[in-house]
Amino acid sequence: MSGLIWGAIYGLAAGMVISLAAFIGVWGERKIAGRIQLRYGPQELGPFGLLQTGADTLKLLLKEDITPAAVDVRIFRVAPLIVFAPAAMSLAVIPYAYGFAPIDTGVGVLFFVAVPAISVVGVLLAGWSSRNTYATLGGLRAAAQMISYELPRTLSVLPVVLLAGSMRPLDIMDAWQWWWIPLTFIGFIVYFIASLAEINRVPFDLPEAEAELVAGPFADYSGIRWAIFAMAEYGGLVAASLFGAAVFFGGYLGVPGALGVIVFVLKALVIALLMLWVSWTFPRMRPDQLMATAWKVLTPMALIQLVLVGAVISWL
Amino acid sequence: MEGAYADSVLSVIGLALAAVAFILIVFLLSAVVSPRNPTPEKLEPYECGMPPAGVPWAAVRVRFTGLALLLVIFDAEAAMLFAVAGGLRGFPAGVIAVGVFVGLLTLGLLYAWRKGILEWR
Repeated sequence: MSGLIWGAIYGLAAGMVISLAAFIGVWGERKIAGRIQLRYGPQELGPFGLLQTGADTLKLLLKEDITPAAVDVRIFRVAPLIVFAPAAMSLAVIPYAYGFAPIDTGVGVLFFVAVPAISVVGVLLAGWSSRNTYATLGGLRAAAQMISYELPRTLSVLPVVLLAGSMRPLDIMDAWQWWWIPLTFIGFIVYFIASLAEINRVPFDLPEAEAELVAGPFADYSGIRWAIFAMAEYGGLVAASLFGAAVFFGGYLGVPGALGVIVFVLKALVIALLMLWVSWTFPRMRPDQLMATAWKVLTPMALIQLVLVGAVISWL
Repeated sequence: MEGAYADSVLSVIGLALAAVAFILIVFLLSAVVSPRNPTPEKLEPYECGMPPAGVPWAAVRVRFTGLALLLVIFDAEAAMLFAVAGGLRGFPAGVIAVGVFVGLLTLGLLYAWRKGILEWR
């Protein structure tokens, strides 16, 4: 029974972590995006515009929550939950500090790659239930994209499991060696690109391409419901960069206590910044290029990485 | 061991329930503070100011249906690989056996590629 309670505590904590990360992340992203595009970004509210996100959140909270007359109401209301919950859940298996992962399970890596995939269902339902041409098309695009990129993402973390001989994140951290970085580098690139596609960031933001589909599956959502989708995407970004820092770059590197957590978060921050940099620099892809990248480039790359590591572990 | 297993399943259930509860609290908060003033125009589906033409719940050409099938096969492969991946360290015979399995599936991918399933048609 204590498991249920601890799980609930971690779930609430994950929700708050995502809110906080979105709070700081949106500000940081707008600042960085501004600099990349030779603008200043937000600067009116608070020092360096730090309070801008707070004001925006408050505005979204105070907005009228419109449920259009034509939608399938029940599905329309449930969809944000199905998108958000997996993003929050995936945060719970990440090894944050020496010997500590909120949910310490022997199938942690599988849990991390499998659970976020559930949000595909939510995005598809959101698009379909809106009964809006743009939303339906966006939802279908999102489903095609997310299932295609899920495969390279899953295969890309497998080499680390092979090397560590365990799927438990804490065991991987214990077994981690520095020479895994060059050995699994192809895997990391595949993981990085596939994660960008999974969280619909810019080179891969076809489902919500605002120039063609307004906001895709989220076109008919307003106020706080829309904000939940945006937060789920931020949660995906946070989880992807934390997990990438853990399995590909050794996380806290065996450093115990708070110092290890700082090392770990700094590494994750570098990956997150890299993701923002990519998404504010590259133009959006075409759908056929998108699918070709997943199946003709990333999947073969992941398989090559797998064979490479397979050859190495035979001699360990 | 069984108790630990039940506990970890329970903790995942607790995790999911709490994540959902978190959003419901936010929704409730918003419902309390936000205005309610629906008008017929507001309840239209989002369009560029004109009434939407036709119903979107029609047959949509989903491309890449073949890819969806391919995904099912490869996801099953990935699940099986995860099942054995933990025990392959320093076990060359096992690595070769799994390598043959991966090789066969890669041949399948190449076959699908040649057959043009991966093309935009």
